[in-house]
Amino acid sequence: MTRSTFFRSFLALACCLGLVACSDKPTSGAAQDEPLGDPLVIGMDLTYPPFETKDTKGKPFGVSIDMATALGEHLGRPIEIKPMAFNGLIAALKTGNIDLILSSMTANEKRSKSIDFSDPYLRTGLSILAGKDAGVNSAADLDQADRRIAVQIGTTGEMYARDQFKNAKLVSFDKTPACVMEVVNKRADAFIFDQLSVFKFSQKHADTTIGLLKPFQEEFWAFGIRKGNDELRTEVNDFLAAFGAAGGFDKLAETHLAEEKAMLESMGIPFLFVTKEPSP
Amino acid sequence: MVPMERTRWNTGREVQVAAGLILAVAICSATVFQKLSYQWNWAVMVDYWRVFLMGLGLTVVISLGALVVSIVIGVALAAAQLSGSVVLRWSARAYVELIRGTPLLVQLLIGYFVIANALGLKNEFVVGVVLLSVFAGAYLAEILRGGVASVSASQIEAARAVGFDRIQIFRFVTAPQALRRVLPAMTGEFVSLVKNSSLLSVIGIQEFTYQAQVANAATYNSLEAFIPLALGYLALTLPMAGVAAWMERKLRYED
Amino acid sequence: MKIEVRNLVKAFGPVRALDELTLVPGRDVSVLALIGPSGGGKSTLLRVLGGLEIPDAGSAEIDGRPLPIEPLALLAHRRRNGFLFQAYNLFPHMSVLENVALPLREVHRLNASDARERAEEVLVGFGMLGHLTKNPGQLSGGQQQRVALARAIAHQPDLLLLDEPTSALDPELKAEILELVRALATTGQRIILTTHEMGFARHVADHVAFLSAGQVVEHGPPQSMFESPQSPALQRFFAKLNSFRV
Repeated sequence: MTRSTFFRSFLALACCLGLVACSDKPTSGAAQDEPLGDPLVIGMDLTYPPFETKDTKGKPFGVSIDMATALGEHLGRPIEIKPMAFNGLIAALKTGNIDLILSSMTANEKRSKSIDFSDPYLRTGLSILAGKDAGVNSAADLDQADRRIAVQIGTTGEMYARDQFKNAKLVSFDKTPACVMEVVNKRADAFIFDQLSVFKFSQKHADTTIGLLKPFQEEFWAFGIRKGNDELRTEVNDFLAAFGAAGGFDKLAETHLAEEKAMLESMGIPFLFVTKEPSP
Repeated sequence: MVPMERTRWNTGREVQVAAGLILAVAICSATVFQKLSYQWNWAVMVDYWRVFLMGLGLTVVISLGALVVSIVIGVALAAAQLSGSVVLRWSARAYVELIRGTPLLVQLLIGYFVIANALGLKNEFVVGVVLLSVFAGAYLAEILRGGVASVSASQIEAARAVGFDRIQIFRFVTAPQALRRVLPAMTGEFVSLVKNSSLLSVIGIQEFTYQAQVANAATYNSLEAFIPLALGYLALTLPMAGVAAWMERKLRYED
Repeated sequence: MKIEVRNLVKAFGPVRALDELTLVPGRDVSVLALIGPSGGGKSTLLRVLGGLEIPDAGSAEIDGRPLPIEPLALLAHRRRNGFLFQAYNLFPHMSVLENVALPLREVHRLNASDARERAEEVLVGFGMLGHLTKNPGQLSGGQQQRVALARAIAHQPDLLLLDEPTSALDPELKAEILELVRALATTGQRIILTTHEMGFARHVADHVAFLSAGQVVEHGPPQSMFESPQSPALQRFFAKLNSFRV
C-alpha cells in the first residue's frame, strides 16, 4: 500500500468511527410523541447491571432507565440520560450539569450533607463476597488484623468498612472488577458490596468465591436532588408513590430482577422495592 | 558517503526478529494469564462489539480534535516564550508551569465543573477537547521551544549572512531543522494524548475506556474487556508512530 | 573600494575584541587581507564590515558610505554582500543546488528558473557538476567550501567577505580554494578576508593589515609588509611563523 493510500484509508476509517460514535446519543423520553418542555437531565453510571447498563446495541438499559422513562412520562417532560463515572455524579449535580441522580445511590448521612434525597425506592444491604477458602463466615470475621478487605472508592461499602473494620487492612479500588479480581486471586479475603451484585459475582466465580448474602447493613436507594430543589423533590416523591401504586415496581422486578427475586425469597428476605418509608 | 537506502519491508533478518519478539510476548502473556484462577468468558464480549466501536470512534474524534488544537496552542505558547514582550514571555511560562505541574484529572475536574460551569459552557465534548488540548499544548510548547533553541547559532548566522530577514530565517532555516528534531518527542506527546483521553469519562464523555468498562460490567466480567481495549488503543497509536517514522525518514539528512 | 575605519570599538562582555581600531589605507583597495594572531580581532572586524555585528562605538565607511546601524539598512547591506564562513555553514536540510538557488529566489528575487540556472552555472564553474542534488552532509570538506563560496558569490555581491576560508581544509584542498579566490579577485571582485595563509595574503591581496589585541598594529601593501615589517609585534609574528618553515 502506498503512503497516500494508507493515509486516506486511515482518515476514512477515522471518519467512519466518528460517525458511529455520534450515533450514541443520549436517550430521551417516550419515542413517538415527545413531551414538550425542558429536558430533565438524569445522571447515571452505566456500569451497574441490571440497574444501569447498556444493551448490546449500546443503548442505556436497565431498571433505572425504565424508571427514568416512567418519570418523564409522569412529569410530561422529555428526559436525557447522561452517563458518567459514579465519582462525578455528585459534583455534576451540584454544579447543575444534571438535574437528578438515579444511579443506585444509597441515601446516607454523609451524602445528605451535600445533596438531598427523594423517598427511597429500594431496600438492599451490604453483603460479603468472600474467597472460598478464606474462612470468612460473617462480618464479624472480617474485623481482624490479618484480614485484607477490598472496597470500591466512594461506595457505602467503603464507608462502612472504614468505620467498622478498623483492625483489618483495606484496599480501595476505583472500579468494581478490580475488587472482584482481588478476591478471585486470593489477594483479598473479601469484597464489601451490595447484595445483588455479590450474588451475581459469586455465581460467575463459583469456583473461587462464595457470597454471604445476608445483608449486615440495610441500605436504601433514592434519587439524588440538588439541595434546595424542593419542587423537583416533591415531584419525584409523587411519582414514586404513583408508580408503586400502579404496580410499576412489580413489572420492573419481572423484567430485570427475576433471578434476584427468587434468590431473596428463598432466603426469607423481603424483596427490594419499597413504598413510602421515612427518609433517612 | 552515500547513505544506504532501505526498503520498507526487508524480508529475512527483520521479519525473523519481529516474529521472535511477538512469540516471546505471547508466551509471557500466556504464562501470566495461566496463573490466574479466573474463568474467562469471551463469548459475551463479542455481543458488545457495538459498544466498543462507539467508544473507539469517540476517542478517535476527540483525540484528533485535541491534536489539532494542541498544536495551535503549543505553537502560540512557544512563540510567546521566544518573543520580545516580557508580558507574553512570562504569561506563557506561567501557563506552561501550571499545566505541567498539575495532574490532568485535577485540570479536568476544575476545568469542567468550575470554570466551564462559570462560563456557562455545557457541552462536555467541546470542553473535553479544549481541556485535553490545553494540557497537551503545554508539553508541546516545551518540545517546540527546545527544538527551535537547538538549531545552532551558526546556522542562524549563515542565514543572516545570506540576507534572510527574520521571517525568512524562521521559514527556511529554523523551522525545517527544528521540525526534524522535535518529531520523536511530538509523536510521544500525541500518543500520550490518546491515552490521556481515557480520563474524560469523569466529565461524562463515554470514550473508549468507559465503554469497555460498561461492557465489562454488563457481562459481570472483570478482565475480558481490557484486551480489546488495549488492542484498540494500539490500533490508534501504532499508525501515529508509523507516520512519524515516515516523516523522520523523509526529513532525514546527515549533519 | 575606499575603506575608512576609525576608532572602532566592539566588546563582548568584558572583552574588547576591537579596541579603538583604526584602519585607513589611504588608497583604493581591491583585496584587503587581515592577518594576525587568533583573538586579535580579525574575525570581529570582518563581521562588522559585513554587517553581522554592530559596533559599540566608532565609524566605518566603505566607498564613502557609512556602515548602517538601523536594522533595515543593515539587512540591505548584508544582502549586497557575500559571506563565507570558516565552517562553511551550509544549510544541511536542503540540496547543494537549493543552498545556492534559495537565496537567489527569496532574497534577490530571481524567478525559479533563473535562480536555478544561475546556481547551476556557478556551481558547475566550481566543479560541482554531478553533486547538485546531494545534501551537504554527503560532501567532503573541500566540496562544501566550494558550495559555500558559490552561495556567497552567486548574486554578484558588491563585497565578498571570507573568514579564514582555508583553515578547516586539508593542505591539498587549500590550494584549490585559493585558486578560486584568486580567480575571483582577478575578475574584479572586491574581497576582504582573514587568513593564516601568509603566501595567500601576499600573492592575492593588494593591501594587508596586521591586527593584534583589537587594534591595527601595521598595514600596507603586501610587499612592504612581508619583506620589511616595521613594528616589533609584526616582526615577532613572522618570526614565529617562520620557525616551522619546511
